[in-house]
Amino acid sequence: MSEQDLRDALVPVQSASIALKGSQSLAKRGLGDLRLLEAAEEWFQKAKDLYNAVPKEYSVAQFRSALGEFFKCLQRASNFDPNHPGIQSWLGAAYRDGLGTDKDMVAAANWFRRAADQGVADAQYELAGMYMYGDEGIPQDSSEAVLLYQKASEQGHVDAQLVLGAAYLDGAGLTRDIVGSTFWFRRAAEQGSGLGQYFLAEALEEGRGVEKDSIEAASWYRKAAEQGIASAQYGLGLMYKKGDGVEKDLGEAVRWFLKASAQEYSPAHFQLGHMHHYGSGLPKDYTKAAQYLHKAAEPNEGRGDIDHLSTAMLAQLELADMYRVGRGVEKSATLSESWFRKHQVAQRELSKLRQVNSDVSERNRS
Amino acid sequence: MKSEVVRRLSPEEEELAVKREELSRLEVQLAEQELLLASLKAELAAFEGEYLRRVGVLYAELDEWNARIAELDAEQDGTPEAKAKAAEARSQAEEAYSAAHGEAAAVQPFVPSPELKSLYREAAKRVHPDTATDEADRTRRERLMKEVNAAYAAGDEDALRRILAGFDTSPDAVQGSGVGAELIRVLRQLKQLRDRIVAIESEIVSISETDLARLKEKADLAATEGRNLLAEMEANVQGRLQVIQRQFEMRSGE
Repeated sequence: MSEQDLRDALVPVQSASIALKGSQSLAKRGLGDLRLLEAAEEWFQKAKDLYNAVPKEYSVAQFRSALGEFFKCLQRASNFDPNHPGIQSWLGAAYRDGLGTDKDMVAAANWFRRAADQGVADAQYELAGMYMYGDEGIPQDSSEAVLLYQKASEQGHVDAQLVLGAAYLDGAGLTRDIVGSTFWFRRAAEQGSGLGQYFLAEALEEGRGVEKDSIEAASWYRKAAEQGIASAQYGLGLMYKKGDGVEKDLGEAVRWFLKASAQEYSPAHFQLGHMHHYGSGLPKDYTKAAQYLHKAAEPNEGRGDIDHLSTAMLAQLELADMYRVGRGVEKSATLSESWFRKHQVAQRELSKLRQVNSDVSERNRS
Repeated sequence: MKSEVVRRLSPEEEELAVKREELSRLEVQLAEQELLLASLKAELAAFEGEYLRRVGVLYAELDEWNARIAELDAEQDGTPEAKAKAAEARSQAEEAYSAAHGEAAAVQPFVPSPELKSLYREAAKRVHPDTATDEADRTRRERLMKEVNAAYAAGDEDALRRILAGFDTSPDAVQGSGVGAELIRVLRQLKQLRDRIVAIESEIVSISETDLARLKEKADLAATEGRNLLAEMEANVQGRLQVIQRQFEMRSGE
């Protein structure tokens, strides 16, 4: 932060009543400062109450205009105690999101910076986000972003830990460090973060930055799955299907695939379709198989995800087969042909994606 | 049956007995009030000590940085105003430093034991200057009462025991003669005691209106809510110290 910002900041570095003598003067000074702090706290509370009182069903525009009074209270609070880390964080958020005031990324970054310097993990995380991608008036600076994510992570900020774990994994803004990545996923996992548990399980399953341990992987998949993380439900299902880290149990595999499928996790559709198709773990049922496979063949999301793409590719191949012989669907050479072409496209996409991923890791390794 | 001669009390003697009873009641009440006042003072002094050690020193540090910045400004500007401002800031810093590191800051926490309190009550009742019967006696008692108060504030039970053991009340008993003279003396003592009780009450009021007492009141209130006010104040001034230090670094880097 520049010196100008500090000068403008109105920090009451000095108390109002300093020109007094003796220890009694220090008592007066403390009392005077306390009154300012209390006033700041009161206006801060009022601001938060106003913020929380905005009806949930408001549109973004209504929401912003309803916050004029909120922003005024926040400013008054800040005038009484410009050094209050909580008020600073809120001001940062208000300027960034334009809550009751015009959006001003530079002001937002300045307020977040001041709170971050005082050790507020949330402010460190938000400021890091602004640097990570750059913002109006904020130059992109990924090493500064990583530094801030690091600080927030060390304070136990779970979201920062997840971002940092992911950044170390794909080497965004820093040298790829798979051990560091797994370290932060573990920290998040141990704090009960479902996503952290899922990422840690993946790392353990692949032996990525940690010694391969299928049994531990399965136990973290289970924790994440129980928290409703669809990808973890799928991962746990797969382990039951393969008998990896747990005793092979197709019934359990189906149970977890169904949960993931209920959340529209597309790879789970494929597994269920495939199991109905060949009658393994589920009764042979071509109609159901075809239904699941159709859903898996055209996933709504997860385009860049290998699990989604590879299961879609396999579903397309199975569908081409089913249309060719009229199994669970009406026989159609045209549709069979079209699914097969989709399959070939997906195959090329997948190998490109695999190439890009290995290039990234290669580049970061060297 | 053994006959007993019961001497009928004269009206003066009856009055004297009533007043003596009132006197001993008031002595107990006064000792209690003195204990209240002495405790209040000792608690405040202890609070002041803690406040100065934790928050006061930080204020002094704040003033020190402020003086350094003002001095840098004076060096760079060289104007008489800047120089005067620097001198003022410097003397403020020195003032705050000596206040925060002075005698008052050395006072340790005050936690009186029940024994200390009961020794104080006893001593206050026995040596209180307002039960004096003449000027010489009053002087002696005033000196002793000071010792009693100092021993209490220092939590020194042995000193209180020594004062009690060395105090001889016999002179009172033999002074004067006759019921009338005695009655007059008791009435005078009663008035002195009542005056002192009123004086203590008003002293307690004026003490609790000081800034220090207000601050302590806030700290006590915060403690009932599970908050630590001095820690909050410390954190606040620490935060401001960070800012002023950064300001100083920027100025000195110019």
